[in-house]
Amino acid sequence: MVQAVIFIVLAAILIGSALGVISARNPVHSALFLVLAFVTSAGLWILLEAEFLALVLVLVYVGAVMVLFLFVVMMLDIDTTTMRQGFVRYAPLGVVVAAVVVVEIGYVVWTRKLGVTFGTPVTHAAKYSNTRALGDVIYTTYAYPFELAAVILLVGIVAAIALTLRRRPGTRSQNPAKQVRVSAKHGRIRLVKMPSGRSRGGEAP
Amino acid sequence: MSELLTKLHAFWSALTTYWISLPFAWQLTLKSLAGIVAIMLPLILTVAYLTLAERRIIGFMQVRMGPNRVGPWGLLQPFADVLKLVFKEVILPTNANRFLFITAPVISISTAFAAWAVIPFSNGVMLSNANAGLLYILALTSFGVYGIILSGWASNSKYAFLGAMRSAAQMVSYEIAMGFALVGVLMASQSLNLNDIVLAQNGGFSHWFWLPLLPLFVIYFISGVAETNRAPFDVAEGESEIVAGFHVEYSGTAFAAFFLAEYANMILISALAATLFWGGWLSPVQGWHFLEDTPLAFLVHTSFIWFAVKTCVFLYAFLWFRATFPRYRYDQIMRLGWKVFIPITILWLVLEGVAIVLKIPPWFA
Amino acid sequence: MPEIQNFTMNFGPQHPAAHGVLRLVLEMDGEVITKADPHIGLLHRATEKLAESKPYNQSIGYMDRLDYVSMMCNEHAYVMAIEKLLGIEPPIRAQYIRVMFDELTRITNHLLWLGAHGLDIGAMTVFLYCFREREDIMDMYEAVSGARMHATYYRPGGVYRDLPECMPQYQKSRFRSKGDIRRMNQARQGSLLDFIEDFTRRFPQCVDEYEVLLTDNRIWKQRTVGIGVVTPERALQLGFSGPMLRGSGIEWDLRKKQPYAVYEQMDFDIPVGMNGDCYDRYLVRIEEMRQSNHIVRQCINWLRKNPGPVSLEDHKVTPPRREQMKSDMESLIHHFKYMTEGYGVPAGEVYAAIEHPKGEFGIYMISDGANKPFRVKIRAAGFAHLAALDEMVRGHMLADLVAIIGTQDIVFGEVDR
Repeated sequence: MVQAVIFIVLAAILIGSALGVISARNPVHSALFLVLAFVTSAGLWILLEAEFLALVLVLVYVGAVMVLFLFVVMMLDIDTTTMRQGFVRYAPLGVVVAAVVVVEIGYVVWTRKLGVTFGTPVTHAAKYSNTRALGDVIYTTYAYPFELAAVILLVGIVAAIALTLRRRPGTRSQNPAKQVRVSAKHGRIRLVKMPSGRSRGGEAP
Repeated sequence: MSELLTKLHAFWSALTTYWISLPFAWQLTLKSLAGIVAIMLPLILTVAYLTLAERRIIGFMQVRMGPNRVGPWGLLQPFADVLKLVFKEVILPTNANRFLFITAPVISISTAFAAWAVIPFSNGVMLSNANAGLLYILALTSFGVYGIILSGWASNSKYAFLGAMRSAAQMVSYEIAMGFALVGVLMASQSLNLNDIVLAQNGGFSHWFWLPLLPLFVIYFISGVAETNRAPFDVAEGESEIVAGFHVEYSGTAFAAFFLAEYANMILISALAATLFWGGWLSPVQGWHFLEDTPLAFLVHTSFIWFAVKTCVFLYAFLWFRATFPRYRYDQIMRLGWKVFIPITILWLVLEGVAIVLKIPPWFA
Repeated sequence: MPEIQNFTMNFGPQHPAAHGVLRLVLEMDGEVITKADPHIGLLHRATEKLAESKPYNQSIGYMDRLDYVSMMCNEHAYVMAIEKLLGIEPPIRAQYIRVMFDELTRITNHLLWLGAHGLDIGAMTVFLYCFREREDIMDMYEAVSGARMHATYYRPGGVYRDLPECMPQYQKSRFRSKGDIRRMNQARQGSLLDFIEDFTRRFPQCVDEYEVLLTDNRIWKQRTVGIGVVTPERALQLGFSGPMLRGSGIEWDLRKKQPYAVYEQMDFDIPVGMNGDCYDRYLVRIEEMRQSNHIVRQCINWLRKNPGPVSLEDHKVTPPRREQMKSDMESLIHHFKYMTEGYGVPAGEVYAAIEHPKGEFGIYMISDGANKPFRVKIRAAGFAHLAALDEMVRGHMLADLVAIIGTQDIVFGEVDR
């Protein structure tokens, strides 16, 4: 009973925030709705006893990916009026794409539904760790796909950096290793013994 | 007198029967609530006195007094501060996003407190004996960055925005180094449960994880300092550069919430460092049987006191850093995180893996 | 992709690192500064104009308030200009006292600079360490003039009075026990000279203490080495002086090149940097504190051995003694004339410059023979330095800007006048 109530509440928030993502006018609000959607879906996963996945979702998507998203969205001052200019022109295409997606989802749900039984989920002992279970599968059965995905992501990171790296002219940068190696005793200051010279009148150096 | 006692007894028995009659869900909720209050109240008091301790200790380091006027030795100073902050107006800047401006400190403070749910104070004494406790803490600390980034954006101020950007980048970066350090702990203890992690360090000072994981321990603590935006990594609120960073527009209670969150996070990082690397509530002189019959026997036993002492040591280190070091520059912090800490942690994880495979005693046997 | 634009930020005038009322309009590309435009004038008090409407002596106090962290040095340049016009020379003892207080002032100035510079870069403790010693020098000011900051101690023809034979003492309070008071008053039992001597004995260790916190600190080096580099050529072209010039490697010090007062008799060396960055300027100023301390000790030795007058007996430019005034008609008249009308100064123009802690501080004065100057122009070192701020910070990051403002040792009292 309690679980059902929690599920309904979380699901309602999830759907509401998902709608918020696409309907909010301010892109920052959209991004924040997406964060809320992630958090509530993590809550749903915890209900399913998939706490590892839930926490990783929060850790990776909420804690890192969305922060960077927000970063970009906040930095770019997106002008919503210019964004909306082509709305009428692209509307028919958008409707077609949306219709295709809806039909696809409907088809999948329709056909799958026939085979699914809504029973109680499998319960596990208190010490059961689905983290370990997940690890066992990933590092044995799916070791190669997993490694492949990791390499692809790495390539993606390198490519993104290579594409966006720009040298700013006129920037003065320091080499920290050299800075730290500096010693106050050598090559920094010297004490000059200067004769006191009223006689020399103090000509300019 | 006896009449009163019987009345009390009757009241107590009525209460217990009522308790038993409650549905399980209610019992659980009430128990959790009681646990939350039992953690929160001491925690808030600790935060209050940490601020006083900080001022007194740094005062001592800087050959000055620190607050000593309110109450004996200034002991009532935190309450005076709270009173002042509570009665100040919370000013909403023009064109600030009202909702997010108020939400941001709430997010900061709630994540800072929520993480305490899985901290073991003594053997098995924790609010939630979660299996994935370590992950939970990582997830919540990563969530804490939202309080900062939202406050920076919602304030509609350039200083606050710069501060938010700096701290968001910094926290995201240091989370990686911190996460790797925690992976080391996880590998050594074979568990994500904090209670089990402490139990895995059983056996006295040299059995604790700080020794086999020394680089990870150091990196964890430094990353923790960076995560909490404390000196020398306090560029997010670097006073001399961007005034007060993300909370420059906040005043009154909203500011107090950020302040509370920062200090609660400091205590959290210290408590975690104690739990993960210094054996939590375990005694450092475990196994010194000759102490058993002396008045010092309590030193040998595991107890909450050890946990508190270890946490305080780390907290002192926080304050010490603040009094000693100049502030890093923003890009230098990022360099330290990405180019120094992350490679070191990865290297040490590989070495640790080798050690675990070879079963090197006493830690990995 | 939209064009990435610079954004403009207002740095100050209310800013913790603005050293008073500096207002900078920064153009920034992310964290990198592409342009820094200093706006001045927020502390303008028309000192030069005010000096034109007052007898010469009454403007000495305004000089204290120019660079309000090195008070007596400002006075020195001003009284030197008047003395040059009058063609008088103060007694030798007064000159020694002036040199001693000039150097003590240099130490206070550098202490405040070091503290503020450290605080800007985030080293909080140095600030309080510096203020501990600065407090002692403030006490010396107080003992000699009655004021802790704005002393008005130097007068044309000498100094206001001789060094006192006793020091002010701390009093017992609710928060200070008798033992504390005894410890704090220990050095204050003898005369001012004893106190200063005790200070000079303690001070080198204090400088070591600051250096332990900063000089070899990795973070300090990362924040100062290679930041705000000025080449020797540019330093000359930009009109730098003082430690800013010496930090760039130019051997130039007015105390040596155009010795005034009794600097000729003093034995001291000039620290000169080699790289022209913030770290070199930091080292130069630290070494200057040690050298100043050395000079103060020489002055103490001389002053102990040679008592004598500290002010000219020419009562046209210095007030007569109080007792004299009570019995002697002529002294009374002198006093009346001196305090109301002041004294006339021969027509002419003069430039007197001293090696101020911040650089060359000069007073250019034109007299038309009246009892007040026709025109006073103040040459403040900080003004030229601030003008070079843009060139120094371009391409550096926001955090470096703070370090560079700190290294310039800007004080707005003298920049805005």
